[in-house]
Parts: sequence; structure tokens; C-alpha cells
Amino acid sequence: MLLIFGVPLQALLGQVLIGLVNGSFYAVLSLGLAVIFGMLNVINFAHGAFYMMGAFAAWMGLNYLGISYWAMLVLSPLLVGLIAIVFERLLLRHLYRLDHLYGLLLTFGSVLLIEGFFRGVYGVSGMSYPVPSMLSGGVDLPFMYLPIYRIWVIVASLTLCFGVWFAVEKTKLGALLRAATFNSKLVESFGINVPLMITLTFGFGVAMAAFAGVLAAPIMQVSPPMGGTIIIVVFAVVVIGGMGSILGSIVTGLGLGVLEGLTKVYWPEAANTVVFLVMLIVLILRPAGLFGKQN
Amino acid sequence: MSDMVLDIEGLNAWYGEAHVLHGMNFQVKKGEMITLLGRNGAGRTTTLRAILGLTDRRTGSIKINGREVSDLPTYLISRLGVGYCPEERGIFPGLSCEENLLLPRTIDGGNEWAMPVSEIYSLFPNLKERRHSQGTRLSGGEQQMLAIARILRTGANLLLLDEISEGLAPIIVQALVGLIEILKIRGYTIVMVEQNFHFAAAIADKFYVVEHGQIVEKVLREELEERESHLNSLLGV
Repeated sequence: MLLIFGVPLQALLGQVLIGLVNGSFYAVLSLGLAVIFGMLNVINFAHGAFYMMGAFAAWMGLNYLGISYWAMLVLSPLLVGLIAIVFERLLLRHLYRLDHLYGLLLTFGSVLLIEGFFRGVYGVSGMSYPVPSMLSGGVDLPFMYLPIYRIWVIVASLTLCFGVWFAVEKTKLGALLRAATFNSKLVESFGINVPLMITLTFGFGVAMAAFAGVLAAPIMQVSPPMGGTIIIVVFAVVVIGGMGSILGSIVTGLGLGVLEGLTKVYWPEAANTVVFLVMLIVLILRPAGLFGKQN
Repeated sequence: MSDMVLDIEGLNAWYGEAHVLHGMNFQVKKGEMITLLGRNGAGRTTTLRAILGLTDRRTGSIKINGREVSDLPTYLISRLGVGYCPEERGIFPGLSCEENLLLPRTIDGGNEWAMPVSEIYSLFPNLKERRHSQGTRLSGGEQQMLAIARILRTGANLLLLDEISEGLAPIIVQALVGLIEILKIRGYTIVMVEQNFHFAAAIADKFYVVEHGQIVEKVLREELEERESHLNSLLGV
């Protein structure tokens, strides 16, 4: 059996794959956070709760209404995005002129309410969601077993991430978003309905979190704390990548996922803290993040 | 139909708790060019920003082509044909010269004022040459040309120009005089804020002196010569 630094290749690749899957979730969630922060200047602490709502929407769709995974992959982001739009219109927009802290407090308070509601109704033990039949099973390669669903998660996440990157960096709409991030008042003076752009951006960023939630449902327990568990790491990813950086979110999310996976192999005790260790080093050496603009 | 493009009455504006404009009154006719003169902090830039609803709060009446706009959001005021060129030029980093040029929305349905990109490039050949460069990498003069070209493309015919000669070399300022003269011949209505009195004197039809958020003096172009020393003393030139 081939050993890499004393670890069998099969075990190593298995952890790299798990790292890539986790990294895909980090990338999609941190990208949503980056898009929202860039446009609204709001640190959306409720992002994890929206991710959890996405997973729950898929679970409820299947168990109460018999709606398939594939349909919920579209419907859940739409539904949760719509809830986010109402949230932005009714609450969040009153805070844009205030310090970041107010947005953070409002979204943090919302997490407590949303999680509390789901805990009250469903408890904390978590529910399982079946892998769709089309994506069940795996491929037995000579050096490892490759579960198809995990490959699907990586492909779907990366497609979404690069689609968003392309839209923001290479299209007229993206140019408007980037310009509004820099000076929204001036963009509005050019006849652009910026308040609507802000609302839709928030809705879209949250819909991405819900999409990640649906992807996560078959491989993680659908439970109220699932958002809170992942969002702390995602915030670290955002800080390391650079607040508001699209490319930073994608590259850092995937990179840290793999690093976490490798740490599980070579130094299991540090697996849960390695991301925060990297954050510490980045904050000391490059406070604006690896891809952030130094001011 | 009245030929009054902009009619401002009793305009007050605030930034937070700071009350900056105290009952501004002035009118601008179609094809006219007026200049707001005054010392720093007098309220000239705030006047332009208040017209577009970019101040925190405002009261009073602002009519554009007879339509009351003081309760409209900024983007709808802009769509009535108002083009704004801010003091700091507002060239967006990360966007090329051409992306900056094409960024603003054109007025609904297009109109006879909307300048095609080809015409803009013949009027500003430097922008054509440097269209793929980052907007913020252009020289100060080129950035100013880009800021003006950007609003000409939209079909705006009421232009609000804030300190467009600021920080530019005399030869570029001279080119701007030529450009404004072309725009005047084409019939654009222009409200300009300017500190460079000599630049404004060469092109404006009327001069309003602003002090403490109010118009305190109005001077017509034909009166300029005899009242220049009085204006100079007001402006501290």
C-alpha cells in the first residue's frame, strides 16, 4: 500500500475529498457573505441560519409535500431568498447609515429567533435526508472509493461560485454592482435603482446560502444548530480571503477546506482549530486578507 | 410651455444635524448656463446634491421642466434628464474607461440628447485611445473628460457640473472651456459650481454668489466687467 508521509494514499485522498466538500460549502457561504457585505456593508450573522432554513425547506418539501430534491434545489433558494427580501425591506434597510455593529446585532438577534423557532418545533437531534437516487452510490477507483453525491456537491458549488464570479467581474450588471459597492449614491444619480439592487443582492446572497443548505441536507444531519456550527468557520474564511472579495471567498473556502481535511490526517487534534490559526497569521501579516485591498 | 428647466424655491438641506442650505431660490432657463460662485463651505456643492436628492434631508420646491421632484428618489430625478458630474469626478476603480462610460443608464426610450459612443469618441479622442485602460489610471484631465462624457451619453440635457476645472493644468482648462462652449451651442442647460472665477467668467450666462447657504448676489454676464471687483471682494479673490 502506498504511503504518503506515513499515511495510506486511500485515507489521504478520502480526507482531501471531504475537505473539498466542506470547502465547497465554505466557498458558497462565504461568497454569499462577500456579495452581501460588498453591496450592503452589513455583516450578515444570520447567514448560517438561512443555510439551515434552506436545508429544512428541502426536508419539509420532501416529508410534508413529497417535493423532490431536484425541485427543492430551485424552490428552497427562491423561498428563503424571498424571506430575506422581506427581512431586508422591513428591518435591515433602516440600518445602512449606522455603524456595522447595528447590522451585526440585528442579524445575530435574528439567528436566535430563527434557531429558537426550529429548536422548539424540531428539537436538536437532527433529521436525515436521503441522497437522491440518481446520485447515490459511488465509483470504485483503484486508489479510493468516490461517492457520487460528494462529487456532485463539489461540481455544483464550483459551478455556482464561478457563475457568480463571472457575473460580477465580466458583465454590465456586475460592473454596476462593483460601482455601487464603491459609491452607491453616485450610481443612483446615474438613474440606477440602487435600493432595488441592494434588496435583490441580499436576496441572492441568502438564496446562495439556502442552495448550500439543500446540497448539505443529504450528507449532514438537518438540524437547527447546523448553521451556527459552520458559520463561525465561514466568517474565518471571509476574514482570511478578504472582506468583500469574490475570488478570495472561492479560493480561500476551497483551500481551507482541503487544509482542514489534511490536518485531520496528520494532526487530528488541530483539525478544528487550523482555520483559526491561519486566520491569526493572516491578520498579523495581512490584515485586509489574502485577496482584500489594503487601505 | 414654460422654458424654465430648473426652478428652485426655498430649498433647505441638511447633512445629519448640519443645516447647510437656508432657503435657496434660483431659476435656470432652457439652454442657459449659470455658475454658482462662493467660498468653500458656502453650500454650492450641496445645492447640486440637493437637486438630485443626495443630501440627508431637504425641504422646499425643486421643479425640473415644471415637475416637482423634491419627493422623488435620486434615480427617478436622474431619469428626468439630469446628469451629474461630481467634484471628485467619481471614476470607479476596477472598471475600464469604457465600462465607466457605459455604466449610467440612458434616459428611457432614448432622446435627441443622447450622444452615441462614436460621437463621444470623436469629441474626446483620448478616451477612445485609452478605452481599455483602468478609469482611475487616466490623467486628471482625461478623468474629467470621462466624467462629462459619461453623462452626455445618457441623454441628460440638464447638466450639473461640480468644480470641473479643479486641479487641472491650464491647457486642459482651456480645452474644457471649448467643450462647454460646444455644449452651450447644442442647447444643453448647465448649472456649474466653480471656484475658478476666470474659467467661469469665460463661459457662463449668469453668476450667483452663494454665502451661508443662500444666494446673496446675482450678476449677469453683461454686468460682469463693471461688477468684477465687487464680485472679487465677495469671493475673496
